[in-house]
Amino acid sequence: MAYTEIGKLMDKWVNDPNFRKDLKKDPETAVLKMGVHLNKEEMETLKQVDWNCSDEELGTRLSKFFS
Amino acid sequence: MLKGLLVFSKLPEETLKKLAECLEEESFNQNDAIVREGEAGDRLYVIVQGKAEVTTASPSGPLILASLGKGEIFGELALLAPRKERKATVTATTLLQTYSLKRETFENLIATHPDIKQHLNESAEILAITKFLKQATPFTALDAASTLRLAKRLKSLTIAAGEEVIRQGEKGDTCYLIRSGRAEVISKGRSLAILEAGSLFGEAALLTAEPRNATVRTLESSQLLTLHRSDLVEVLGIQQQLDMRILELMRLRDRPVKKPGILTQENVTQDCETVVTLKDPEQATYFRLSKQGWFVWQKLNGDFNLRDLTLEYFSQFKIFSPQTIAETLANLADAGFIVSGKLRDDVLARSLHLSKWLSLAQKLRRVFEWRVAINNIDPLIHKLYSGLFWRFYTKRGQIAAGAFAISGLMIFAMATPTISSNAFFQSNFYTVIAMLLFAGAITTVIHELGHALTVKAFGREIPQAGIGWYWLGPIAFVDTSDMWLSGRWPRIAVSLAGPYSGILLATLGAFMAYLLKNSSIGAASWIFTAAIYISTLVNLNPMMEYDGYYVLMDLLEQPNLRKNSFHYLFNEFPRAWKSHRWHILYGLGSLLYVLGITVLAWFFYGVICRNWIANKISGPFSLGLGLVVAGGIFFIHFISVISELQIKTKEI
Repeated sequence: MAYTEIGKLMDKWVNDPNFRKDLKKDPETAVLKMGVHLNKEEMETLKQVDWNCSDEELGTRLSKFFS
Repeated sequence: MLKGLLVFSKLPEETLKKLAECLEEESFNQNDAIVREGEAGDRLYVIVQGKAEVTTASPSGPLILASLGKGEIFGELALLAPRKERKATVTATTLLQTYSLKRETFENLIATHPDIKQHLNESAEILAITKFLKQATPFTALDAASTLRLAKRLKSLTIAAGEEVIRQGEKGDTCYLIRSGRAEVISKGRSLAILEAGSLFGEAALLTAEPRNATVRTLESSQLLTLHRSDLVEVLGIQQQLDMRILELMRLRDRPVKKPGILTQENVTQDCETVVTLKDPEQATYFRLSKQGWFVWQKLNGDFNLRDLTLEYFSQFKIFSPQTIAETLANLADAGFIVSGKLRDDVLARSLHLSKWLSLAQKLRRVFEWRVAINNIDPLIHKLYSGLFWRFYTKRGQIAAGAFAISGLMIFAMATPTISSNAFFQSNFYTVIAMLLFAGAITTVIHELGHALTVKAFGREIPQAGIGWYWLGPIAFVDTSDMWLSGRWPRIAVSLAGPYSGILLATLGAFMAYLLKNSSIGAASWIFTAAIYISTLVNLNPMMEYDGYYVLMDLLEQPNLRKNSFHYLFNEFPRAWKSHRWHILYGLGSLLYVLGITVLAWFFYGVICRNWIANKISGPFSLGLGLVVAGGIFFIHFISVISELQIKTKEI
């Protein structure tokens, strides 16, 4: 996917919450509506999410004794 | 009635009389469309009785632009438009009575009174802006009345191509909506984004105390709508959804910076994934980053916004992940690990929408969960460990302790059958209670010491320790959060160290119970030992946040297990069943357990309250009062459960 195409997608993604929802639901249609043309391989990169574990704040560990 | 309409208010009496004679009465039923968007318009209408709604079409269905009532006019703008097209649809929402005026009569009127035409042109412009706001901007979430109010305040501005609208470093009190055209966002000579029609820019400087963080230059001739700071701040706080939208926009455009002084520690999970734990030594908070999160973290130097990070990530991993990157940045910001623009106090005050109900629930919850902490306890624990207790953590020490614990369990089992015939149990109720309290106090100290010393054995810190109350009873605690920097087996060892220490203490009691089984000391020792074994089992219960919970959490390598489980149970079930089955089952188990102890608390306190009150006040009044007090405690308990669920099911 060309850098410029990603840039266009990102500009739309940041400024349009409806586009974000559409992209999550049906990436192919959302991208076509934008006028961005991707081949099959490039479309697959939109659908992949390789983030296996979530990045999150770790809660306080309070080792308690119930007396 | 015509005199009351602003558009006709300046007409002379005679003209108004002639106008009134030309009016035709028309009635419409509820849900009748009086005018339809796009159709040719041939008359205007004045509402005599009833209500109507003005809507415009959109991909997601009709958008409400305004509500109309008695004395209001509609349909007039189409009569001025070049092609006489209706700009919106008007539908009766109740039985509607109107007077209509034909186009020809109206055109004759405005030919002789041009000020009417000017007023109507202004109204047409406001309607067009209202439609624009509802369809393609961050303000789509506003209700019709607020949108109309906002539309009236916006000023139109035309900018030629290549002009700078705002400049980086300058102070600003105006933000801009692009109505048509395009603009480029530039910082330090680098293009950050291209903005199209419907985009808002310049809002960050208005909502924070900082100067413009970028320059915006038009790429083509553009029409902008300007909004002053005071108007934007007023709009915030009207609806939660709008606040979220604008604050989200600020966050998505931000160029975050790592907070200085953050420490990092790398570990490998059971799935052979490398994770990095961040520690903020100032706040004593911790954050876990995956490999991908670590990649993003290293780029947070104030130069990259979300767009840049997504592009960088794509270059590295060939995957488009703006959503996940945005969530990671949001989590880091919420946890205080990255520095971003601080909202001004008046903005914060208007945009906080904590409901009174949730606020009350959170306060009531503190009745059942509070603590008093002793800080700076680490040096003392370190002294104890290095002076004496390090010996327990050698190989020999662990073997000896293990053998001691096992022998205690065996001895206790051997002592139990014979101890029940001891006369001590029948005649010393208060002594038994005293023994239980004594066992509780001693075990508390030994248990927490076990946790604390094991933390030192792994070279970590203890920021605080103390006492408090947790749901059904008093607790003592040690903050072992620094163990997040260690691997899961050391963390599990620390969690089990408390119960294990209790078992070692119980072993002493078991020996005394066995050796002195026919004496009162033996019986008291048996009670002491039994109490410790039972409390150890209670602490290993994983359904609430006791030691067993942390063991389970680390075994599964699921930090925030309880919070995440409630989230999947309440927000993602049943679609997450396949991927997060164990989370959902744990959430359900924990919920049932908490509800169970809520009912238990009601019975428990109900009995105590009723008995205590009955001793003080006789008669049926005491029963009623006891029930009321117990009911009050149950209510507070129940509210605490709800508030815990509300907090922990916040969408991830």
